[in-house]
Amino acid sequence: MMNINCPYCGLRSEAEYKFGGPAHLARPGPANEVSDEQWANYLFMLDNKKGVSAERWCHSHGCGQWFNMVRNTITHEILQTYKITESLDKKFGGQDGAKN
Amino acid sequence: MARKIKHVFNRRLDIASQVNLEKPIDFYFDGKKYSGFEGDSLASALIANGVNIVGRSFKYHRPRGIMSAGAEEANAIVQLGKEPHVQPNMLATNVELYHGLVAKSVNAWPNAAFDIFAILNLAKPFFVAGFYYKVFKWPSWKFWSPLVRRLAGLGTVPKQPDPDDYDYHHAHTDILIVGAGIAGLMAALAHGKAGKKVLVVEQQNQLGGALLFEKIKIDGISALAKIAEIEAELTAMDNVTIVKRATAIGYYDDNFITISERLRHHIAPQLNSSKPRERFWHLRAKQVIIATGAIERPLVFANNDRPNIMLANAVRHYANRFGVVAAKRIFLATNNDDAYRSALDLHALGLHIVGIADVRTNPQGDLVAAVRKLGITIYAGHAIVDTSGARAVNSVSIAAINVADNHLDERQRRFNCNLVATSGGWSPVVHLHSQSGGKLRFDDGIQAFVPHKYVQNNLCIGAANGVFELGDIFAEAQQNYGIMPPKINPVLTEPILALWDLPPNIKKIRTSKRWVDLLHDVTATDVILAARENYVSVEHFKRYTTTGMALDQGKTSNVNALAILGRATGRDIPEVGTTKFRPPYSPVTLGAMAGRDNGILFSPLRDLPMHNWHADNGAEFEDYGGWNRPAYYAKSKETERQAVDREINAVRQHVGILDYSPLGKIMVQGPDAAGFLDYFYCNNVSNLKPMRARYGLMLNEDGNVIDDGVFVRLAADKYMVTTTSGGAVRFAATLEEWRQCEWPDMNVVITNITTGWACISLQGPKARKLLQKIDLSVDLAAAEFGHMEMRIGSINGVEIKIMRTSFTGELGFEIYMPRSYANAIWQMLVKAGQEFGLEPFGLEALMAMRTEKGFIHIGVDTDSTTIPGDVGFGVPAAKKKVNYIGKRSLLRPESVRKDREILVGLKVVGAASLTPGGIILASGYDNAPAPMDGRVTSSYNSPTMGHAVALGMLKDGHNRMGEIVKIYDLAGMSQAEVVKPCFFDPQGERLNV
Repeated sequence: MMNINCPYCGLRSEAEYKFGGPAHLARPGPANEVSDEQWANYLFMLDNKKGVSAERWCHSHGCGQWFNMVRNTITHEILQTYKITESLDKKFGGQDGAKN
Repeated sequence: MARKIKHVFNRRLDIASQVNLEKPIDFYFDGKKYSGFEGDSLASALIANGVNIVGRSFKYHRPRGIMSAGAEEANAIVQLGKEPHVQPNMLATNVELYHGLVAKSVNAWPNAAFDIFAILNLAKPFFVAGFYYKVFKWPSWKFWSPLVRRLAGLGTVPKQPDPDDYDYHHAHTDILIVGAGIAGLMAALAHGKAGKKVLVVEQQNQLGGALLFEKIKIDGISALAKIAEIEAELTAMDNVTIVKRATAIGYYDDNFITISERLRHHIAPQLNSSKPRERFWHLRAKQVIIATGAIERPLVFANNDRPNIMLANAVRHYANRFGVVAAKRIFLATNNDDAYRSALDLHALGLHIVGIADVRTNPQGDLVAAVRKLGITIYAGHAIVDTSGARAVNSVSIAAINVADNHLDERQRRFNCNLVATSGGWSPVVHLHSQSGGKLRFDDGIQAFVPHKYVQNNLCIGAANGVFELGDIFAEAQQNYGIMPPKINPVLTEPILALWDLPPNIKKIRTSKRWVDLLHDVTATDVILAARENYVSVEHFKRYTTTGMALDQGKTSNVNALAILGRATGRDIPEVGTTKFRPPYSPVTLGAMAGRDNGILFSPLRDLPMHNWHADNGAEFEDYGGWNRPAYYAKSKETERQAVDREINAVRQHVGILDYSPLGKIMVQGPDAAGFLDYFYCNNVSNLKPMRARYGLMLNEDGNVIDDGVFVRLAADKYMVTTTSGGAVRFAATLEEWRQCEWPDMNVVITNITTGWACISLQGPKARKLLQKIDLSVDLAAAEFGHMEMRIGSINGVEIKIMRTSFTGELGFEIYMPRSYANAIWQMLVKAGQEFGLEPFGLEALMAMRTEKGFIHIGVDTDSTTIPGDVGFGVPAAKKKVNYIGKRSLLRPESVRKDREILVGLKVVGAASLTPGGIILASGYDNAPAPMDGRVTSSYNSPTMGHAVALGMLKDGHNRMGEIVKIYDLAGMSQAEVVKPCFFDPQGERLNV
């Protein structure tokens, strides 16, 4: 049961949160310009990383806000939480100009 | 059967102990009445009464007796209580005796002393490691499982619901100390004095841990007096909380600990107690101190499972703490110094120590010397190799052993004895440390796994840290906390000499039954066989042999098993490694984990605004998506079918009234509302004119239909969207998730108003006439107020919204109002409706009428593969330009396949009706089994049509209109004609009146 630092509310127990899959996933479009492969990659070919991973979480039983979290999926160590509109830190593999 | 000669030996020793001999307690075991005393555990009372067979083993039904005095017990598993207060799988060693306690042995019939299934012991060759996989292959496991399940198993499931309450407790603390042995208590004193908020949890009913049964003086007073002194000191501190009968069972991320506290296990069950039976703690601690002690391992030799073969510490535990001993003539076997403590204490109580077999060739520690001084014979360099005795051990055979050469002498010596105490060394209780993610290291000095690396803020101390001797524990406390060590007589001990299994050089021993896991009946031979079959990974090995998988989680067997596996595969223990310890440390009741989320509170139903009116008017309620809604209203002596038919006829011919309040209602407002909603529907939202409504489908990114409903544009920047009643919360959350994560720049506010706004639906040809009778400020004339339009007005001065829409196929109006006014308006409408033949109708009538019309019900007619084209929405979905959610998925080859399953009507041939879930067979098949072309999704009796109407999903349905399909369900075979999915008023003339 992790203790997660909501960027809006502070430290709260994991029971208040909901996991929402990988963060920084760019939605391809418009639909008629997206290949089957691109679409399949977006929908299905998710990294499911072992190790440091950027994830979306929602403080669903709190402020209701979605935010991003960098977490080590092996140790459950939380390295960073940040607002949904903010980019992935470079030290975790974030790139200049990348989508939020 | 010959009657046994009664022992003259009194198992209750005439000494002062912690039981109160002035307070006898009657209890029952396997139907027989016995007597114990206040302070006894069930195990100590059974020993005192000479009950040496307390259970039957898991596979072979061999007789088993109490082998330990604590949470590590592998044999004495009992079912406690009578219905409804039944508790399976309790350890007799942990059960405190109370008046009238009823216990029953498990895995035995009719009882443990005389068990019919003991014949299985003769079938031993079949029950080798992995026997499930080997023996029950033919004809199939399914064939065998009912039989095996009856034979192999522990307690039985209670028949009646548990009448007790269980509570959750959420708490925070600075320091959690698990275990109130001397190490834990020293830590509690240190942190308590430092002003920290300290919580001490102890699984027993008393503080003290191992000192409860040790004859040691500390600072010149008895260990018990010393513990009482410390307890008094701790109790006086406001910042220290001590919780007894509480076991920390799980250690999770960020120092989150679950604790099972047993508040009423030690007293007789009673109904309507104001106190919960157990309390399940969710605790967050800044630091966790693990002072959980250590568990003694048994030695492995042939027939080491006979009753009255016990752990050496358990024998002195029962003698010193409870004043009981199972038998008088005691033989001890050991590979370390601790068993000598038992020998000294038992000798002092006047019991006869037959001898001590020590595998070490020349033991010389202080305790050994003291034993030697008493004239007790020590057989150094010897080990027990075998035992005899049918219902309890009556002799042991020992032989000289050379551990270094792994060689056993052929010559054996036999000793008569009726109690055997063995010690194979001690294993620190590292379960919680391992659960925390911490690493373990195999310590050669004590031949056990000890805590190695910490990953959370925790600390193992005392025996849990591999520090066994009292003097060393005090030294550790001084180092950790600067506490001055109390005065004790120092004891010099010598190291253990590991002996995991007997040497294999003698065939009779090699092929003997040497038990490793007593609870799951795993022998050393099983371990060696698994290794020979190449189960070398410890995780595979564990599952194949089931070692350590029972409710004791291998507390006494794991290390022995790992060592034997290591030897069989030519590896040492560190190389073999250990499986990760997983919660719970001790079995925990399901009741404790459920807490109050039980019965009607498990998933509470929501009542409708007009609930009382429905109840007063004969409503039969059912759970529809979490709402407690009327299925129908039965008038006197009506069957369900008659009531539903009457309600349908009233709607079709007159007018019906429906409490439609659960309908999901979500307000979406803001300058970007129209564009935002365009992303969520596969048809257009933004081109809707104000005060107009439209039906739409919502998709997920896979292109699948997840919900449907009517949306209304109230103003340029304001929509109300409706969802299925079970989908409101989910869809509001979906809107919010996409707004925050994908389109954060869109200026939109989303509000779920489902429960705040009630909805009353009037359906039927006379609905307009009825509404024209009441004080409604809206012009209802057909020319003024068209189908799928909304008006805002008032009823008797209350502001309402009214929408002309229909899920029945009739002229219909839905009136939306604040929930608080709904009851009054409902009753006014019911009264006004009398002259028009108004009837209230429930969900069953609504579902039948929407099926007559072919209107889909999401999640019933659709599933997680349905796309808009399957339910007649292919054209608008394809035409819409916006890159709405799921649009791209509708272009995939799978989505544009021509022969997809689509919604069709099914007109039953004959008088039968269909069952949802019925399978439509592929063309050319007359009966199941057959390939499947589709399925029946909805089926209702239709009084309107005079026959059953059904909807289904059928492969290539467009091209199969008129075909007679064959349908298989549990009632047998039926036939139906494939028709367009609308049985009634296909032109929609009844709506446009």
